[in-house]
Order: sequence, then C-alpha cells, then structure tokens
Amino acid sequence: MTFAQSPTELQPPTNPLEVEICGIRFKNPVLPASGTFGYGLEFLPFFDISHLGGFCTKGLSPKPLKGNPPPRIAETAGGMLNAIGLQNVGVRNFIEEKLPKLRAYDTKIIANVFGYSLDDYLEVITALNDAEGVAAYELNVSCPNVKQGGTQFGNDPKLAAEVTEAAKKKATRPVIVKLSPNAGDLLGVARAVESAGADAVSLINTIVGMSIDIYSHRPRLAFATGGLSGPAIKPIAVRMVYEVSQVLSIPRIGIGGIATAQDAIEFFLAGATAVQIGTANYADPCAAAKLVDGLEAYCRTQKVARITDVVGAVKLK
Amino acid sequence: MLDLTGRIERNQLFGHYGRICLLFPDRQVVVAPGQFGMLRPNQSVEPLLRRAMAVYTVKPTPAGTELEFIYQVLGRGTAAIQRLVPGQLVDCLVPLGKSYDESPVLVGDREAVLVAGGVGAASLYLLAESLRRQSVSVRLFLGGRSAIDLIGLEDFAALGCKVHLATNDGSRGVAGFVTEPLLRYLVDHTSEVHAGKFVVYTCGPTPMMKRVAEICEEARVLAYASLEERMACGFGVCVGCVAEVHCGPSEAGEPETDFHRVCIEGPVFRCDQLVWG
Ligand SMILES: Cc1cc2nc3c(=O)[nH]c(=O)nc-3n(C[C@H](O)[C@H](O)[C@H](O)COP(=O)(O)OP(=O)(O)OC[C@H]3O[C@@H](n4cnc5c(N)ncnc54)[C@H](O)[C@@H]3O)c2cc1C
Ligand SMILES: Cc1cc2nc3c(=O)[nH]c(=O)nc-3n(C[C@H](O)[C@H](O)[C@H](O)COP(=O)(O)O)c2cc1C
Ligand code: FES
Repeated sequence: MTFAQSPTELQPPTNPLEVEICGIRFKNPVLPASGTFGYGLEFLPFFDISHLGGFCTKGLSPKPLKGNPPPRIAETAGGMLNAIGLQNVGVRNFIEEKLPKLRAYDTKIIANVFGYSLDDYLEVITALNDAEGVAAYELNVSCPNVKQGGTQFGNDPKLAAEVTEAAKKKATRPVIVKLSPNAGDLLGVARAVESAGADAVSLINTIVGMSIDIYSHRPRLAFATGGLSGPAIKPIAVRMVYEVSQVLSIPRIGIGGIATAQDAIEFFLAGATAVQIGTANYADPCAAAKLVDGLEAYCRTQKVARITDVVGAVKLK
Repeated sequence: MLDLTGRIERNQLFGHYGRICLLFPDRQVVVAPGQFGMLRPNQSVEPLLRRAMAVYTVKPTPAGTELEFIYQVLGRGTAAIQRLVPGQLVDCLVPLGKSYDESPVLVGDREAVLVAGGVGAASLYLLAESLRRQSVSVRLFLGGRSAIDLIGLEDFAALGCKVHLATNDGSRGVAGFVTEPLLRYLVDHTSEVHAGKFVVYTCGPTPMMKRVAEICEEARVLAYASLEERMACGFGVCVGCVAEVHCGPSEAGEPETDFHRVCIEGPVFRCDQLVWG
C-alpha cells in the first residue's frame, strides 16, 4: 500500500497540528517511539517519514550492545512483552551510517540515549552534540530489560535528578527524560527531573510483566521478565500522564498503547502536548502516518482550531 | 517489501493445518524461495501482531498474483486465520527475509537434499520448484508426526523430487525421525559426499534442524537452515527475532557470537554459522 507520499501541505493560515515542545516546532505531535521505529529508514518502503512531526531512535549506547538471548518477545492479551536488552548499533555507527541518510527528510530526530552508568549517558550525548541533524535527546532512564543500569536512575528521584542535571550540562540540545511507570514514586521522580532542568518528560516506558508457558513451566521470555506494551497499558499510561500533568509545568509527551487518533486525543486531554506511537507500528507500518491523518480529520470535523486547545482539557465534573 | 491486501480465494483445512490462497489483484508479487510474509486478518487488532508464514506457492494469473501459505493451527493467531472464508481480506507484508542460496547446487552434477519436518516443508517447496525448473536433482526427506503431517508430499512428488518419508508413529514411510534416513543416505553415498555432490537445505522443528546441522558438519556437507523465531514486526525494527551466530574471533582471539535478526539477516542461515545451543 502506498501512503501519503507527499509531505503534509501546511494549511494556511495555521497548521492545526503544529506544536512546540522545548523550543522545537513539530509540524504535528506524532512521534514514533524508541525501539519501535528502528532508525527511521526501515519505514521508507511504507511511507515518507517527512509526514511525521519527528521520531525517536532506538536507544543508543556508547558501544554497540549485543542484547538478551531469545526468545525476546511474547504476545499477551492486548499487548506484548519484550526483553530486547537494548541491542543497538552504537552511537558512532548511528552518526556515521544512519544520520546522513536521515537528513534528507523533513522530520525532527530525537536521539534516545541509554547507558549503564552516568559516564555512558554523557559519552553518548557528547558524541551526538557534534552531529548535525538531531533535534533533541530523550534519556531512557527507564528500561526494565537490562540487568544493571537504566531503571536504577529512573526509579529513584535523587539519581534521576543527578543524571538529568549532568545531561543538561553536557547537552547542546533540549533534554527529554523518559519516565518509568515502574518507579514507586513516579511523581517524585517527575518533580525531581523538572527541578534538575529537564526540558520535557515522556511517559510511559513499558511496565514490567511476566508470562509463563504452562507446558514447560518456563517463562516465555529467556530474560524471565519483560516490558509490557500495547493497548493493554493505555489506561495506566493515560492516568500517569494525567497525574504528572497536575504537578509539572514542563511539557509531557504521552506514550502507551496508542494506535489511532482517538487514542492520541485521550492523551492530549490528559495533559500531553505530543504523543509517541510504539507497538502499533509493528502490525501496521503505516500506523503513525494514519495517526497524523486521523488527527487532521479530528480537528476538521470537531472544529478544533489548534490541537493544543485540547491539551489538558479533560473535564473532571 | 510491500504491505498488501489479499483476497481469500480458498482456505482449506486438513487435520491441524490450513492451506490458504490469497489473490493480490492487479499486482505482480515476486517471491524468492524461502521468503515469507507477515499475515493478519484485514485490520484486525486482536491478536496484536501478525504471524510469519513461509510463502508456499506463487502463481501469476491474469487477475494478479496468487500466493499460497500452509499453516499449522497452534494458537490465537493461526486460529483467526483458520476462521477466514473466501472473499474476506488478509493484510500481508511480503516478501520478507533472505532466500535460500541456490548457487552452490547449480554447479556441476550436484544434488539438493531437502530435509523438512512438518509445516517446515512449506518453506522448501518454492526452492524445489526453482531447482527442478533448472533440472537440478532434488531429493526430499520429509518427516512428520503422522501421515497427515507429511506436508506437501504430492506437490513435491509432482515436481519429480525423489522422496523419502518418515513418521514418528510409523503410519507412513519409516518409523522414527526423518534425520535417520538422511544419515543412512549420506553414509551409503560416502564417495559422493566427499566429492561435494550434496547441498542440504532444511526447515522444521529446531531439534530436527540441529540434528541435520550435526550430521552435515560431521560429513562436511554444506547445509542451510531456515529458522523460526517469534516475530513482532518482520521487517527489522523490533529486534525481537534474533538467532545467535558465530562472528569470528575477537581482538583477544576469543570466539565471539552476535545476535542476528531472523527476519532480515535470515530466516535462512548457513548451518555452520549458527550457535545451536
Ligand atoms: C520465517 C518464519 C516462517 C514461518 N512459516 C510458517 C509456515 O509456513 N507455516 C506455519 O504454520 N508456521 C510458520 N511459522 C510459524 C508461525 O509463525 C507460528 O506458528 C505462529 O506465529 C503461531 O501463532 P499462533 O497465534 O497460532 O500461536 P501462539 O498463540 O503465538 O502460540 C501458540 C502455541 O504455539 C507455540 N508457538 C508459537 N510460535 C511458535 C513458533 N514459532 N514455533 C513453535 N511454537 C510456537 C507457543 O509457544 C504456544 O504454545 C513461521 C515462522 C517464521 C519465523
Ligand atoms: C520491542 C520494544 C523495544 C523498545 N525499545 C526501547 C528503547 O530502546 N528505548 C526506550 O526508551 N524505549 C523502548 N521501548 C519502549 C517504547 O518506546 C514505549 O515507551 C512503550 O513500548 C510503550 O508504548 P506502546 O504501548 O505504544 O508500545 C521499546 C518497546 C518495545 C515494544
Ligand atoms: S521481527 Fe522485528 S526485527 Fe525481526
């Protein structure tokens, strides 16, 4: 199927889907999520990625990572568990091999940054600072699928603040911190990263889960536990975006189980300024492009002048 | 790679299996032997992910291209496909993955030895067809639990493949695992083995392919296996479908391995590149 091969024509006088987050203008608030969109280039056979406001790269670490042994994925009702273990090409390969090709497209690239230690995060950011064509960094402090690192930063307000502050000092670009739904004190972590200088937060990452094969009595993932994503987590994600929106003034990017424009609008109403679409990209590689079109149609039919008009507009009474 | 919508022409059930024929109207779909598709009922949202299926046959028709798949009904995904009837639509990402390497068997007077277990035979049929078209001798060792599990038997025979059968329950062919007649054949043809006459291609349950790989390593016969791994996307972005492969010694001279995506770098791998565990 071919899909919207030409970039969205901006509707004069204003484009209802344009949003601004940490000083960056996105032509629409649809950003495929890290780990579900590869390095962007993989989707070119399906649609022109210039149709998207932007996208988040697979988590980048200083050196290529080998990842966890298979099986790495298991489908569950309304969702899937994954324990990829952040297998990625490494930040240098991304800069040398992927980024030059991506510059041809009119879409904002958000580099998702991962490390086992504070130094790892800073090394990736330093390498990316010199690379042309990256709009912002998204700190993954919330990956549940690696033995050490990642979550330890995201689960503790003090550590989350430390990594955010250090990243902000190093970074020449806005820093988005990706929050973990597995943190005991989500609001504490959210407040801490805002105070530490984060330009925005994105949430949620996957929720730790487990599935067991009843015949072999073994976990269905080699890593035993994995991160749950997909429609099953959407109500939890909407609730978390809503709660975080009550206590933060920096922008929120909503993630979790989004497949359609209707799903995305729920997140806007809860307080998100943009959304990321993850697992839905697998079953329908054009899902993100269709989401953009769906939002356009919503604005048109519901007479919404700007999508930002509905941000946080949930009515509690 | 295309995301196409196919119309069901036939969906015939036999035992725990189904054979589904999809027409892609006004489309030329080119598939190489061993490539696969990712299928789901049109626009279905549950189950969430598409299911990987080897392309069994490809037929250009005046109306478009017909692709056939043979599936084993295991769980929710294949049960949903089983319920579909002619006229309904199926979403199909196709063609995906690397194909079988035919080149080693196209030189000299060589013979392709295909070893299939159960529904794994579906992945080998296009290879047999292509090789027979090029007048290459094809020998098939086909195994299954019972006679009904000997997938594609009549089709392979009609191509002129020499067929050896094995079933676990002895209801057809020799009783036991299909790797036993394979081993006997290679032992009985030692001089041809030494002369490099045979190239082995295998697809089926992992324990079977592992045994094929062992036999071929010992006999020094070049062998290829088409692997199965759980897949979320089928086009390289989730990195969920990996197999462990040898990747040469490290700087310190230690043997090293890496994880390669079955949907992109595979599903076909050389057996000696794989870590069989
Ligand atoms: C490249 C490739 C080509 C394939 N070609 C074919 C084909 O031509 N015909 C065919 O029938 N199948 C084929 N498969 C396997 C097929 O994709 C799975 O059997 C299918 O996804 C199972 O889906 P389900 O929803 O029915 O089962 P699920 O609900 O996912 O699982 C049901 C049960 O089956 C088990 N199971 C699930 N997937 C597999 C698997 N891959 N191997 C072994 N057990 C499994 C589960 O552990 C569970 O016990 C292929 C797989 C790959 C990767
Ligand atoms: C297979 C897979 C790999 C992922 N890899 C990453 C990653 O590298 N970095 C990251 O921050 N999030 C990663 N995620 C999390 C997603 O970006 C997203 O937060 C999560 O899947 C929830 O959204 P969804 O329900 O729309 O998928 C991954 C998710 C999946 C399913
Ligand atoms: S199935 Fe997603 S990378 Fe292979």
